[in-house]
Amino acid sequence: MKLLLRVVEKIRPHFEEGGKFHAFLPVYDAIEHFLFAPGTITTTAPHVRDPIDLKRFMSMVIVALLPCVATGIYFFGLRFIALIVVSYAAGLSVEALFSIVRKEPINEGFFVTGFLFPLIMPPAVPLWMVALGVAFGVVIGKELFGGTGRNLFNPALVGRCFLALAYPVQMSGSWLKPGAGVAGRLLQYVDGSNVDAVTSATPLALAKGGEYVSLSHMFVGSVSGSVGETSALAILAGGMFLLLTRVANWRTVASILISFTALAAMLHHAQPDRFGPALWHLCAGGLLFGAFFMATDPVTGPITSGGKWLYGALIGVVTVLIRNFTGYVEGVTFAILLGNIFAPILDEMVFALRLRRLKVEG
Amino acid sequence: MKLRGGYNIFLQGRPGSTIKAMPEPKTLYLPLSSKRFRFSAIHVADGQDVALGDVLATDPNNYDVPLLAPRAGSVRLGQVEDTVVLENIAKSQEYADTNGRMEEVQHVERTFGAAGAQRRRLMMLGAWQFLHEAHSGRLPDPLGTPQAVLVSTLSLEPFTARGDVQLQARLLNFTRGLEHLQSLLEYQPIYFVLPDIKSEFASIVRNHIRGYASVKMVELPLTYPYDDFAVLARSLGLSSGNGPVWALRTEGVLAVDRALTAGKPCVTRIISIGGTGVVSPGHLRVVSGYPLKCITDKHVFEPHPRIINGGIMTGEAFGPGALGIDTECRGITVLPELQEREFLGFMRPGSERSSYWPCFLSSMVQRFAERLTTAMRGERRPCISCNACEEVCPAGISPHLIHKYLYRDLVEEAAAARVDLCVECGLCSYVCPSKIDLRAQFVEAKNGIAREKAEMLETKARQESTEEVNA
Amino acid sequence: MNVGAEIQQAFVVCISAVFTQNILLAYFLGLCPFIGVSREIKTAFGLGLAVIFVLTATVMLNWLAYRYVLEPLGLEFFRFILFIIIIAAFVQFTEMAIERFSPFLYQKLGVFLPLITVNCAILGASLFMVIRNYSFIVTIGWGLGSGTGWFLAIMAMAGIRQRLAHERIPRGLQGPGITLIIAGLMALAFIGFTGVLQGR
Repeated sequence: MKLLLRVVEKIRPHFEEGGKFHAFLPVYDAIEHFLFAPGTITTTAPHVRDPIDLKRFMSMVIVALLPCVATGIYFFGLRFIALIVVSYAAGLSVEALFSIVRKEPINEGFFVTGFLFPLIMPPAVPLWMVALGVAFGVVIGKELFGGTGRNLFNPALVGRCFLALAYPVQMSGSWLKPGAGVAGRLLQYVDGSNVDAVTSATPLALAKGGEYVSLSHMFVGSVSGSVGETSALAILAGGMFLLLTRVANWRTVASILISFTALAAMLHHAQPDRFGPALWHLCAGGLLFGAFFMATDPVTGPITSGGKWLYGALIGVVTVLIRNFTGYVEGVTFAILLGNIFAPILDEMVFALRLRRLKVEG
Repeated sequence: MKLRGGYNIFLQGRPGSTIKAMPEPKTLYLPLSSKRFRFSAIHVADGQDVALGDVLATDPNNYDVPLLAPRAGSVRLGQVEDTVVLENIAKSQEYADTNGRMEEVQHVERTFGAAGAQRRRLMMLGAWQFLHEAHSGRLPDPLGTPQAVLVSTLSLEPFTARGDVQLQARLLNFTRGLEHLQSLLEYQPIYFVLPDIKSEFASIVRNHIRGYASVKMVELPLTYPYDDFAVLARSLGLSSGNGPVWALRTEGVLAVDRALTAGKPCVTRIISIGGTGVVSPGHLRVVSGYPLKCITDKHVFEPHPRIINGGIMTGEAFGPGALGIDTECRGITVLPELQEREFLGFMRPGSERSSYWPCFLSSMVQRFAERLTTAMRGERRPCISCNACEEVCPAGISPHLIHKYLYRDLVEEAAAARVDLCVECGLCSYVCPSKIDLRAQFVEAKNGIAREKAEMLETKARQESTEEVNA
Repeated sequence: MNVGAEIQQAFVVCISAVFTQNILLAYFLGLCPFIGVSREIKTAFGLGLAVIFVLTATVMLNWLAYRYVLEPLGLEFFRFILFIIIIAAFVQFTEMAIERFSPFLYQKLGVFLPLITVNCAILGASLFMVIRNYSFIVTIGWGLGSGTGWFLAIMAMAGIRQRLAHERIPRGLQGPGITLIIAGLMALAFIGFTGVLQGR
C-alpha cells in the first residue's frame, strides 16, 4: 500500500497548477480519495472529528440496495448489470464534465443516483434510453441547480419521469416476466428481442382490469415491474438497514407508509370492488422502494422534522390518488416530485413556527 | 430541566485521578492574554523584585482583575512578547505584604459594606477570576447583584481537569467555600450541580453545610456539554434578562475558600494533562506561568504532537511563542498529528471506530480501541442537511440552516435564526459528515454581529451627544 | 340543473382546477408575473392572494356581463374586449385598495400589480368559462380553483427560488432561465394528476 501511495503522490504534480492535465484534477482527486483517506488535519477547535464521511454515508445506501440488486438479477437476468454499467458510464462522464468546467471535486452523490436509476427502469428498456435518462436527470435535475447538495428534485426520478413521458411506448412495453426456479435468470441475458419473456402486464396494470396477483408473489418479488421494486422483502431488508444506520430519516418513511395505508384502506373499505386492498397496494409498484430510498434523500426533502411528516403525508396521499383516479398505473414518481416541489414551502412554515419559539428563549 | 442534544465522545486518554506535583520552576512565563483577559495595564517595572501575590498587571476592561505573581522573583519585561517573565525564583516563598492594603479594604468596607469588602478581597487575592457570567461567559461585575449562582462539580469536556479529582481531600474546603458564597448573597439561590443526588458525596456536602448555606442540588446526566454554564442557566430557566448569573466550578469554590478563610492568594492550579498523545494521563499541580517545556518534556513522548490549551472540543492549540501556562488554563490535551493515510479508508468495517452515526461495526460491538489523531477523516463537501448537527446541538438551534445563510452572506437571517444562542461546544463540527467547520463559522459570525452592534451603539451615542450639544 | 348538483359540480371543478387543470402548470397561462415576482415568499404570497381575488371576482362579473349584456344583444364576439375592460377596471380598484391597506405590498409588487390586468390567466379563466358553458355557481368554483391553483404554483416556485438564491447556477441561466426550467419540471410533476377529478 505504501508503494501505491507513493505512486499516487508522484503523479500528483501533473494534475496541479501548471501541470499538463490540470483540467482533470477533479478526476484525479476522486480516484485518489477513493483509494486513500485524505491527509487533511483539523486547524481549529474541535480538534478531532467523527470517523463518518460522505463516502461512508453514501456507501451505506449502496449496501442497502444490494438485496434489491440481487433479486433484480435473479428475476430479470444479467441485463441488469448492463443497465448499471451504462448508467454509471453516462452519468459519470456528465458529472466529470461539469466538475472539470466548474473546477470542483466530483461529489459522491452521483454514486447513489447512478445505482438507483437502473433499479427504477423496466428491465428490457433499450440501453440508449438509460443513458439519455441518466444524462437528463443529472444535468437538468442536479447540475443546473448547482450540483450535489443544492438540487431540488431527485435526479433519478427526473430522468425516469422524462423517459416515461417522452417514450411511453418503450417504457411500458419493456417489462419482463420474472424468472423462476432455483437459478431464476441468474445466467440469462434477456432483452426486448426475446418475445417470450416480454410482457406488458405488471401487477398494477392487471389491477386496472380487476385482476389481482397474489400477495405472496408480490412480497417475494416474482412479478414483473421495474428491476428494483418488485421484491418487497429485499426492499424491507435494505430499508431496515438504512433506518438502523440513520442514513434515512424514519419520519419520512413512517409518514409515507402510514398515510398511504390509511387512505388506501379507507378507499377499499368504501368501495371494495373498485379499489384494491391496502396491503396489496403497499407491495405493488414502486411505493416501498420510493418510500425507503427515494423520498429519504436528505437533499431534496424537507430539512425540518415537522416538514418531513407533512412531506410523507403528501406523497402517500398523492400516490393513492394517482394510482386509483387517473389513467396512470404508477404514481410514486409524480408524487415524490410533487413532494420535492413543495418541500421548501413546508420547511418555511415549520421555520416560521420555530423562530417564533426561539424569539422567546435565551 | 430541559436538556437537548449532547453527545459523549469515547476516547482514550482520560486523565487519571492522581495529582502529581511538578518540580519548582526556575523561571516563570506569565502570558498577558488569555481567553477572557487582556492584562494591558502593567504595574511593575523591568527588573523589579516582587513577592508572592503581588499585582503584576490588571485588565482594565474586566473590572481591573489582577494578574498575581505566583512566586517571588524579579520581573523581566520585553524579553518575551506579551509575557511577563519572572526570573530568580526565590527559594523561600514570602507572601506579599497585605498590611498596606488593609486601609484600602477598610475603605471599601465602609463604602460597600461587608459583602462588598469580601468581594474586593476575592478580587485582590485572585479568586474572582474563576467566576463566569453564565450567559455571556465574561467576568461578572464584582459589585453587581446576581439572580442566582451556579456551582458545578462537573467538567465534561475531554480532557479538562476533573472536578472529582480536585475535591480529593478538600471536601472541607469545598463546603467552607460554599458557605462563603452564601454569605456574599442575600437571598439568591445557589444551584449545586452534581451527577448523583443520592451519592455519598452529596449527603456529606449536605450535612456539612446544614445551617450555614441553603443550596439547591441539581442532578445532571453526564453528557457533554450539559456542564456548560450557558446551557445550565437556560435549562434551569434563568433568563439573561433577569440579571447576571454567576457560575463557577470546583476550582472556583476552592479558591473562594482559600481567599476568604485563609486570606492567601490563589496561585496554584490543578490542571489535567490528557489525550492520546500522553503516556499516562493524569493531573498536575502547577502555578500559572509554569514553563510549558518542563511539562511536555516530562509527559509527552509523541514525535509529532499537537498541544492544546483546554479540551479537544473548545481548546486552542498553543502557538509556537507560548512558553507558559496562562491564568485560565484548565488542562493540557495532547493529540498526535495524523501520520498515515489508510488504504480504502471509507470501506473498512470500522470495528474500532466510535462514531455518532451507527454506520460502523463498532456500534454493534461497542469496542472503541481507536487512538484518535487530529485527522479530518473526510473531504470537505457541501451540506446535505442530514440533520445530525441539529440533533446534537444543546442550544436548540439549527446549525445547518445557519451555515446555509452564512454561506450566502445573509448575516441578518443568521442572526434571526439565533446564532447568538450558540454555546460553542463544537459538537456540530464534530459530527458533520461533510466536514464543515461550523463552530469556527459561528464564532466568526457572532463576533461580526457583536462588532456591528457595538458600532451602531457608538454612532448612536455620538449622535445623541452631538444633539445634546446642539440643543 | 338543480342547485345541489351544481354545487357538487362546482366543487369538482374547483378541485380539478387546482391540481389537474392547473391554469399555470397545465395551460401555461400567467407565466410573466409568475417568473417576475416569485423571488421572495412574502411578495409571492401577496400577489397570489391578489390574483385569487381578482380572478374570482372578474370571472363572476364577466359571467354576468356575458349572460345579461352580450347574449341578449347577440354580441358574443365582443367578449374579448368587454372582458378586458371589466378586468382592467377591477384591477384598478384592487390597486387602490392595496395601496390603501398595505403600502409595503404595493411598493414591493411595483409594476406587477397593474400588470395583473394582462395576466392571461385572468382572461383565460373567463374565456374557458364561456367555452365550457358553466353556470354561475360552477363559475364561482372555477374562479376560486383557478386562482388557488395559480397561487399554489407561485408559492411553490417562491419557496424553491428562495432556497436556490445565490447557488451557483450557470450564469446564462440565472434568473428567468432557471425559473422556466423549474416551471417545466413542476409541470412534468403535475402531469401525474391527469384524470383526477376531471371536471368538465
